[in-house]
Amino acid sequence: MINLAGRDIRHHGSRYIFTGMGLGLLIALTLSMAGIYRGLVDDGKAIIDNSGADIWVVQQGTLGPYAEPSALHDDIYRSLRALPGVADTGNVTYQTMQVRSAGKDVRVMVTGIEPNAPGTPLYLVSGRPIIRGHYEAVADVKTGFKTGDRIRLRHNEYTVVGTTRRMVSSGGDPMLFIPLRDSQEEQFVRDADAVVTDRLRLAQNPRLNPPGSPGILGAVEENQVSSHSVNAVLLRVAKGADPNAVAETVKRWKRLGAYTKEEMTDILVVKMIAVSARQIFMFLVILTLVSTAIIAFIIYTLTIGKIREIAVLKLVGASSRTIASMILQEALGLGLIGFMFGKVVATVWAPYFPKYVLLLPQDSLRGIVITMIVSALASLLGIRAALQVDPSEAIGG
Amino acid sequence: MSRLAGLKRKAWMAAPAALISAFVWAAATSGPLAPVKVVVARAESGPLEQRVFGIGTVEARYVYTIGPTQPGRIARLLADQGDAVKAGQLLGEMDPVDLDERIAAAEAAREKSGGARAVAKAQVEQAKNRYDLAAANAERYARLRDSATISAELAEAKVADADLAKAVLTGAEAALRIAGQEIEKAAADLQSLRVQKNYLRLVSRYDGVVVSRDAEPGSTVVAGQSVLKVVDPKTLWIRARVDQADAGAIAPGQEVLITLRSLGQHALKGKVSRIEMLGDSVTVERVVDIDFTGDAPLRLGELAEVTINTAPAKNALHVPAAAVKKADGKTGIWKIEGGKTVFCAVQTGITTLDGKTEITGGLRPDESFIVYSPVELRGGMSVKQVKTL
Repeated sequence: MINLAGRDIRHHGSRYIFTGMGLGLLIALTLSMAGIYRGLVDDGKAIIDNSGADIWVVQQGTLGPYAEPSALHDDIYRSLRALPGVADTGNVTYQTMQVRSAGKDVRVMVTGIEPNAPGTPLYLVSGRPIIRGHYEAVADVKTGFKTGDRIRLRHNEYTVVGTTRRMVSSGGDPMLFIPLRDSQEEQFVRDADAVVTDRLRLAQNPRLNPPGSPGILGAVEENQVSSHSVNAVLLRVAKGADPNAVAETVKRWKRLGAYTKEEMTDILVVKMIAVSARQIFMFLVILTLVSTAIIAFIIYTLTIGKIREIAVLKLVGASSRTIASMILQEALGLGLIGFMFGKVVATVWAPYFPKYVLLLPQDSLRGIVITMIVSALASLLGIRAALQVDPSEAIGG
Repeated sequence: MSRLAGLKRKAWMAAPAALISAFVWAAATSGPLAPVKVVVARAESGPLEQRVFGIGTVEARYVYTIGPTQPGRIARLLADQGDAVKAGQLLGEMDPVDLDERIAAAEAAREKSGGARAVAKAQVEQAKNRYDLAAANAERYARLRDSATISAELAEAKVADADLAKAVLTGAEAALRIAGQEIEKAAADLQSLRVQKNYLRLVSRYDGVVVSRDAEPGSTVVAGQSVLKVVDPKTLWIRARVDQADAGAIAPGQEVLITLRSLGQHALKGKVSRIEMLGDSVTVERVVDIDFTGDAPLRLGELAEVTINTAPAKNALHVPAAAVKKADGKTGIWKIEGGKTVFCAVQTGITTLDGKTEITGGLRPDESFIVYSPVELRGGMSVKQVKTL
């Protein structure tokens, strides 16, 4: 028996493949939207996975440091380090700011870290980690900074000594790691103009600059520009210790907020990005429905376009079964070409999105199953139309 | 014609093949099926510079604060910042208020006490004369009584006169002594006021340069408040803060490269002068004082980066610092065995400022390992070596 579908496709080759590619672009769009949704959720989790911490210790009663502001004294880590079950501690500060370098403005999350403590980037893609305690930086590649670049944050110039990947804030801003002591300074020291204006204001305040006690003004000024605060202390628990138990001890006895990895993921994914993620998910559902409808229409129109040929087939005695299988095969082929083309296109354009697009194999698998089912269902409409064709139409009736 | 048709057919046969291979590529490069791309390197032996980095500010070892010893108003200032001054040079004066008048009064009091002394002296002379006369009379009358020329009563009266004159003389002599002491007191009072006036002079006690003028003529300052600050430019140094973790190898005399913020990449030379006894327990830093070996630029308060050479370079096996990772609380590096990642614990020594970590055990020379990876490495990951990421 001859393969009618194969013959038909070969006959109308270009039309068939172009239709498939058109479908493919639609499928690529849907896959990318799924990737954007997954990327959004993954951005939320990236900061948790990449900080290398098991417990986040934050200001009591806050959801910090990502969801709410949190401030702790930077010597709290000493008492935390002494708790049973704590293997390592790391002070961290987070601050989102615009960084200007070589004429371009990049929005980054400046993260203050202690070398080798939790919070430091776990892997690099070039350069070296921060070694000097001051004025060195490790940047995420999305910032566009290269190893050796010199960048300016507020008053000081930093040298980018290494780059890393996928170190982003929950909002998707790339991170820039700098030594903790520098970041504490950057957080609280304002630009030179503001400092000068502040000094003048202080000097005019007779309570802070009382006549006869010239020393007070200097002390107040010094107090205003020095900072011994951090946003969170990251804890790594010892092998075999239960993070929940350690977090409970911190909460109960140290009177601080403490979140385990699961709780932090919950805060970020469920509380922080939930609405925007649901928004995109809703759009993804609609896009899937629209794509389904369009695939169905295309296959139906394709079948209707061949109605004369089908009538001829009927006239020469082809069975309904043969005709139905021909239409089904063509529909599935179209779906397959569309999916494959779509997957390729989505993979190719994914890196050019400004924010992270995560194409999961599970999503592709779901995509191919949905595409095949939709193609099969759509072909049913075409099959129904084909089987109702009067053979006399073949001879112009 | 038929050749053209054949070509066309071949093209249409190639299209699905191209699509399928593109799809396979897309499926293989994204997702968990794709091997992780890594950059590998080999352990090398070579010189490792042993240096410690710190930042500090240019300060003067001694800052001489010049100000009044008692509250008052500044009358005039003769020096401004940048002026070189010598020891003993007058730099300004405080307003004496009524001190000059008090000195004039004290001078007058001294004159007066001198006069009083002359008066007392004259009185002593007078009393002495009187006494001499009375004593002579008493003696004469005593002889006359003995010769019974006069009554005993009259002679006794003359003795009483002589005693009285003696008492008057003693009193006059005492008054003369007191007048002498009054003169001393008046002179001391005058001297005290003159010393006080001298203290209103703001004088530098050392050779140096005025670096700040903190108050202006006409303003009132309290005792001990700074009016001018003088430093000796020869005693400029850098107070640098160095992390306690790195400070162990620092010792006085070690060479230092100094980069001032204003001088950019132009490095100055210095050497460690001392390590301060008290460390900072809050910032976990030690303070290291560094002398300039050449001429020190007078840029007080300026930020300086210091690199201290703690020891000569040593030859050692080393790896890039980026390769050293922590896993299960152990320090080590990731190796590739049969295309899969394997963690291998190593013992590390020093890490140089340019990112080389010394390996003291656990790795053979020329062994290769992973330096860069785009994800966190775990055991058993399949990897693919690339040149750069």
